[in-house]
Amino acid sequence: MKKRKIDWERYAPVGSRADFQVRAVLVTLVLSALWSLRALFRIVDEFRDLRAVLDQGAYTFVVPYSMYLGSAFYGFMLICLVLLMVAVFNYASFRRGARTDYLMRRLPDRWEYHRRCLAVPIFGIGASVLTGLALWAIYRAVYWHLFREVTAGMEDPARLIIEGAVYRWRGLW
Amino acid sequence: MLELQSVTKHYGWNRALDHVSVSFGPGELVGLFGENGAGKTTMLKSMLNLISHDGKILLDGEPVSRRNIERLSFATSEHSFFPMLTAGDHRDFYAAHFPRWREKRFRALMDFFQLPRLQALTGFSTGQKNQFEVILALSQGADYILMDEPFAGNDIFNREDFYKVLLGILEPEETVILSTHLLEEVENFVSRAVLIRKGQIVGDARMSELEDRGVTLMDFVRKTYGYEPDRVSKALDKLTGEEGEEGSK
Repeated sequence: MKKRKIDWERYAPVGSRADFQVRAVLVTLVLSALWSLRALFRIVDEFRDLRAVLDQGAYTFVVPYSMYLGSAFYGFMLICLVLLMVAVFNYASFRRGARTDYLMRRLPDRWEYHRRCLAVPIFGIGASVLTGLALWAIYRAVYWHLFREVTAGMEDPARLIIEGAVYRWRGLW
Repeated sequence: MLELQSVTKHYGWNRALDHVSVSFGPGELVGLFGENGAGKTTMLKSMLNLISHDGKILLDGEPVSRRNIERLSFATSEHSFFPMLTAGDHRDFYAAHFPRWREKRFRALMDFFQLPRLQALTGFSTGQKNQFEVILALSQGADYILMDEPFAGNDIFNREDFYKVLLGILEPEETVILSTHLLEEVENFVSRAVLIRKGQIVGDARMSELEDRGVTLMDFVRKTYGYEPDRVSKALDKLTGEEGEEGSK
């Protein structure tokens, strides 16, 4: 089957190409994902310590999941923020030096103008949100798995999660 | 037929168009005249749906929409081209988006005005930019060509060339609506004069009617606007008179 080639020129303001923007988004997504690994390493380290303490028969507690996150997902939020600015910048580019927006707004294809301004930001924000959620869920699953493993055989493992009901709820989910 | 029915537009408290009703038929060369702020640009932009407005604008009985917008083209002194692209790039873009693109006309006009094809438009002079803006509007393949002060910044010889070329290349069904201050220059070019003042149509006459009445376009405009030919001398008399009285006191 012949591979369909993407016409990158159609997804960016006229005169520029979307593939550069898409590449930049992908690189920052990878960097954000790597940065978010801090939370995972923290969880794994914490449970290793927890297991050691519990093995000694001492009492300890577990920090709720949300407390491990810290700034781990800030990269994805930053991408969304920057891409919102890119969308505004793209629209503004059609008013720089001339009122090209007049031409874009009277094209027979109603989506042409918006596609060129919003395609990359929507793709980037979507990819960022999905990647962030996926990683959040994976780390959450790891936390949950380690928690069950460490507290296996305990009568009320949830009591190990600190700071009352709210934290317990947040900690479990 | 391009028809405006009771079109009204407000900018805040200011009424830029006040229940404008006028229609333009195929093959007309219409001059749209009025002072600064009279509503000419607002009227043209309303026709293209570039600004919101009340009232109806119909193109052969259908509201102007994406389905028929390609039948309208627009040349503006603000310029609506891509400054960083070349003329050739514009040709490709227009040809891709406007199915009735007139390649032959585009080439002929580019050759006539000797505009560079491979240079980005940022490198064009103001006059060349205006020429290119109009060339695009004429080559789009539209039935109604709207022009808003398209020659602002062009020299007189250049403008006259353009009027002649326009008269030579336009097909019988093509309509041009030209908003300009250059009354005397376009007098022999337009077939109809529409006068707008404070957002209202205050005059509408065919040039043939004016000719039959022995009235020039300038006379028609002056009369419609209630322009007093001696108002400058009256004002000067008053001013110099006041100074004389003050001096004698």
